[in-house]
Amino acid sequence: MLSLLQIELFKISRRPRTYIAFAAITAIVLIFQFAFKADGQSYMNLMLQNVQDNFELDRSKAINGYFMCYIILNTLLVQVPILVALIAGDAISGEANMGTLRLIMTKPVSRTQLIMVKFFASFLFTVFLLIWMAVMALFISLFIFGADDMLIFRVKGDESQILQITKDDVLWRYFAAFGYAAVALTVIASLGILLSVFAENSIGPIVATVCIVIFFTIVSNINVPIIDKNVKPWLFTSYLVGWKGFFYIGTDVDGQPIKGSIENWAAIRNSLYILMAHIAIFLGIAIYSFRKKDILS
Amino acid sequence: MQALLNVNQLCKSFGQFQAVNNLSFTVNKGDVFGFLGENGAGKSTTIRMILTLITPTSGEIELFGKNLQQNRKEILKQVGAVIERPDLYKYLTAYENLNLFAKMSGLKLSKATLMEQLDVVGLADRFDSNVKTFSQGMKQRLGIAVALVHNPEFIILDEPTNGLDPQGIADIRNLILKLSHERGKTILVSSHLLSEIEIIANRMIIIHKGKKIVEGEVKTLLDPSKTMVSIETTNNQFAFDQLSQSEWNQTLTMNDYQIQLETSKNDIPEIIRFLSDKNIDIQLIQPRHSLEDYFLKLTKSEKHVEPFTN
Repeated sequence: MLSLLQIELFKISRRPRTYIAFAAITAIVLIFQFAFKADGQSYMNLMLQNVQDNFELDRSKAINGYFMCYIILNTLLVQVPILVALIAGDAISGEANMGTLRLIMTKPVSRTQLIMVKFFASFLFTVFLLIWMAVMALFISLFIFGADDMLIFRVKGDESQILQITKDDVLWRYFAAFGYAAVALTVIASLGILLSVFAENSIGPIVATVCIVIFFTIVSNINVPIIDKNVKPWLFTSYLVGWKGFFYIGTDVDGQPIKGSIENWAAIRNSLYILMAHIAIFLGIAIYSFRKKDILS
Repeated sequence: MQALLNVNQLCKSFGQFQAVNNLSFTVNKGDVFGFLGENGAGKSTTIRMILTLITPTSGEIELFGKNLQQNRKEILKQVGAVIERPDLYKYLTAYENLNLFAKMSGLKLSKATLMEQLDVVGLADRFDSNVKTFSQGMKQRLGIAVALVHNPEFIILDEPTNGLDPQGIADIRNLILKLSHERGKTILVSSHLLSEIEIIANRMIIIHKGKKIVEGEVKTLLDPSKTMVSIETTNNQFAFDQLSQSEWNQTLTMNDYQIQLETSKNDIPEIIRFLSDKNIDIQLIQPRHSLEDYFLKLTKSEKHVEPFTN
C-alpha cells in the first residue's frame, strides 16, 4: 500500500496540472498582499466605520500578518475546493481516459487498494496545498506586515462584532484552522474520487464536483427556517467554513475574551464528525461501485 | 499436457447483448495459443474476464489450477498482459513507466535489470525519453516490456500488432517466438489476422459472436490436403473449361481474374503439367492457406461446428 502511495504521489508530482493549484494560490496571495500593503488602510476604515466611536484601536497595527492571513483564507478557502476537484476528479477517470486503468488492474492490486491510494494521495495533495497556503498567506504575511493582535469582524445574528485576539493567542488557532480545512477539503476530494469512478474522462467528474459544491453552498446560504432545520445540518457545504470557529474567542460573564478559549468547541467537533461521515460515505460508495464496475476503457 | 488456463462455460452479457456465450477452452503450459475472431467477436471481453477487468455473468476461469476470482492477486502476479493499445503514462519516460509498473507488481528492480528489460524490446537507447515522443511501435514494445517486467509465467497479448508497420509486426512476432522458445512462456495472442496466428501459434481457437467455432492444433486446422489454389492464365475461360473435365472439378470456381480450386499441395505440379499439356500459359499459380477460407466459411454460418476440437 505504501509503495502504491509513493507511485501515486510520484505520478501527481510529474504532472504539470498539479502545479496550477500552487501557482494560482501564490498569485492570489501576492495580489492580496500587494493590495493591502499599498492601500490596506482604506479597507480598514471601511470595516471600522460603524464601530470607530466605541472601539479603541491603533489602526496602524490592525493590518498585520495574522489579520492578512484571515482575510486571504476567507477568500481562498471558498475557491480551493475547485483546485482539489482538479486532482480528485481525475483520480480514476484520468487513468481510464489514458488507458492505464486496465493496465493497473491487471497487476496484483485490488480495487479497494487503488481507491484508498487515490484517496490518500488526494488527501496529501490537499495537505500540501494547505501547507503552501499557510507559508504564503501566514508566514509571508507575517514577514511583510509583522505580528500584532488580531481583529476579527463578525456578523452574529443582527449584530456586527469585532473580536480581538492577542498576538500570543493566534498561531495555534491557525494550525487548528488549517487542520479543520484539511478535513473539509478532503470531503471534496472523496466526492471527486466517487464521481471519477463513473466516468472515463476527467472533465465530467471535475465539473460535476464543482457544480455539486456550488449547488449545496447556495442551498446552505438560503435562510429559510425549513431549510435551516431540515436540510442544512446534513449538507457538508454548511461546514466548509467551520474553521472560522477557532477564531471566535470565548468570553467571560463580563464579555472579556478568555485567552486560549473557543466560543463553541462542541459545534466545531460536531462539524468535524459530519464532515468525516461524509468522507466515509463517499469513499464507501466509491469502493463499492468500483468493485462492481466492468473496466471497459 | 498440463492445463494452465481453463475457461469453462463463460458467459458475459451487457444488458440484452450477449458478448460471450458459453465459451470453453483450454490453454496448455508452453502453448502459443491463437485467439481468433473478427472485430467484435468477443475476444477482448474474454481476455478482460481472464484478467478480472470484467466480471463474468456466469462460468468459471481457472488459472494455474486455481479459481481466478478467489485467488486474483496471487494469480495476477504470474500474468503479464497488453490489452489492445499499449497505453502508458505519456508524461513519464520509458524507464519511469517500467519502474512504476514493476513496483506495482511488488518488485523493486535495479536500474541494470530494468535497462536489460528495455534492451529486450529494443528501447534501451530511449530509456529517458518521454513516452509521448514514442511511435506506436515503440509504445507497443514498451507495453510488452511492462507486461514482462515481473517475469510472468503466462502472457496475454491482445491484438499486439495493431497499428504497427511491417517491421514492427515482424519485431513483435519474433519477440513472441523468442519468449516461447527461449524462455518457455505460455502466451495467448488474440488477433483478427489469421496470417499472424498461422506463423506463431501451435494451438488456436476461433470465436464468432461470442461462441466457439473451433479449437485445436493449428497444424491440424491447416490441413495440407485442403489447400486453396489460385490460378491465373492467359485464357482463364479455356483453362476453367479444361479443369471442369478433370479430377479437380469438385471445388472449381472462377471469378474475373482467377480460377480457384481446393486440393492437396502435392497436386500442384500435376495441375501445372495438365494445363501445359493443353497449351495453356500459366501466369500465376499460388497455394493459399485454407484457414482464411475456412474461417470465413465458418463465421458466415451461424451453425456451431466443431470438427477439430481436441
